[in-house]
Amino acid sequence: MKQDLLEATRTLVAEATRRNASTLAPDDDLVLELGLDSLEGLRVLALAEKRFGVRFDDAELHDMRTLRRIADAVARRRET
Amino acid sequence: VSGLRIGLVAMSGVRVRTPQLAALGVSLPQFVNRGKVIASLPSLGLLTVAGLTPDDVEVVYREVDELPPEDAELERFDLVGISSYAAQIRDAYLLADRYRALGVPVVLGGLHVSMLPDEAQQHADAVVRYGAEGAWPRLVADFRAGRMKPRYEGLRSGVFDEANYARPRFDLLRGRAYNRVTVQSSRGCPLDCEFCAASLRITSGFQQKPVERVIDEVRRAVAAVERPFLEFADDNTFVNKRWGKELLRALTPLGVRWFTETDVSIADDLELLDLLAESGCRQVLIGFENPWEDGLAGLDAADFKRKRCGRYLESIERIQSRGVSVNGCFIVGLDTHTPDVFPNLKDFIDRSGLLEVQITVLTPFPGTPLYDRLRREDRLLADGDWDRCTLFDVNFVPKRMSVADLEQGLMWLFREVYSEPQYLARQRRYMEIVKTREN
Repeated sequence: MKQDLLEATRTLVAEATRRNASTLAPDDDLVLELGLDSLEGLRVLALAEKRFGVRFDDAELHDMRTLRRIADAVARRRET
Repeated sequence: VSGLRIGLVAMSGVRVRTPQLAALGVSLPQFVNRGKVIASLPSLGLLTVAGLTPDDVEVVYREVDELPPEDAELERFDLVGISSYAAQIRDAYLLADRYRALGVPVVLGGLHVSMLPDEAQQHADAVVRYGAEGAWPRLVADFRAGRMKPRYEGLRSGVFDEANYARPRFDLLRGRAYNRVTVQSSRGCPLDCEFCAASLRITSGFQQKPVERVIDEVRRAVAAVERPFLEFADDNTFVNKRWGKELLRALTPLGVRWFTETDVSIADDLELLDLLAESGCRQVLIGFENPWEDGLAGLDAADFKRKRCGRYLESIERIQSRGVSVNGCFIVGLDTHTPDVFPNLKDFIDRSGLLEVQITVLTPFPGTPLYDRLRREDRLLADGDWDRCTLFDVNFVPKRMSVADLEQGLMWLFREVYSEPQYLARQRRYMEIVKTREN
């Protein structure tokens, strides 16, 4: 299940940032390693909320800088 | 290659000087964000200088955040060109002095140097005023012939004409990490605000690059740095709405994401706003300066901002509803401002729904009408102390409050506007707009 979510997150980020999904590693830092601007990072998180039907805690947004962390946050939100 | 090796050194780090403000920068998200972004941008001016350099010359582009330690060995060049902002010009002069002590001839250029060539001349073998176009090719030829002159004046008009235009060497950025890369589509701004120290001070009038050239540069910038967020290094991109729409239509198929600076009149053109959103524009920076008529009277040549300030809130909403965030810029310390400006501005910002806010203190940069006026009125605190030109440090006597009122009010406003809850609320607003507009 977690793996499915990670793959779905990878697909979403690839679409949102027009990158090849195969180049996105789960622990790549979206800002430091993929060079995403902070605005683009927020946009990715907004699209993740919409696609996965969750709402992240605003205070944890700044920590959600890798695919894995986004997927984990989605999983946590779905559990609550 | 001729064997000639020229170093182009950008010094563009900007730090606030007042210790309390520096401390705030660490603790408050969004505070000095824009300054950090600017400091991390490549120097488009020097990339343009590289583009103007003959092909048989080796050009080395370097960015220097801090003055290297005294005992550090400097990279050797046959000639070195240094460019910097007012706030770091002292470091640039020190670096220039060190190169000259090693026997390396130094050329200084850029906005500050263009305004104060005599000051710069004390630290340089040659000073280039205004645009590098029209000056740099002559300088290099003279240097090779052993007759470099102390002063060169570049073009103030026609810089984008075929005969003068040089494409910036974006290829020099390959292999480096940049979140943002700059492309310029215009130089100057017809608003001519009294305080403005941007490119209008080195141009004789507003100049616009042909759309096909802008697109060519965008393609090259994107090719050099993988999927960069583009920043148009313009003072006011959408002065000409027809040209602007042409640019936006040409940008759309490129799939880039970008930022620019413009004025609030874009909100009056719904077609332009739609094109803006479609083209990948993520943020526009707009200088509102002050949301009240009395503070804006006489600030720009045609009272443009005063006439529009009554519609600021509606304009912000109209732009942001299309998914383009507005970075609203405000200045405190204008002559009409009393200590009431701080709570009043906070109230306006709260009501505005702005997704990003930049508050700066009125800053008398050399070469501006503001500097000349404050100097005439004997209101400069430390004339010539350019380290204070950070946009956050106070270097003049306000008209209707004390210096201490201004400094303390500024700190209060920063704490209020850039607090964690406010920052998170702005992020959330942006995300909700994105969710409404995109799938």
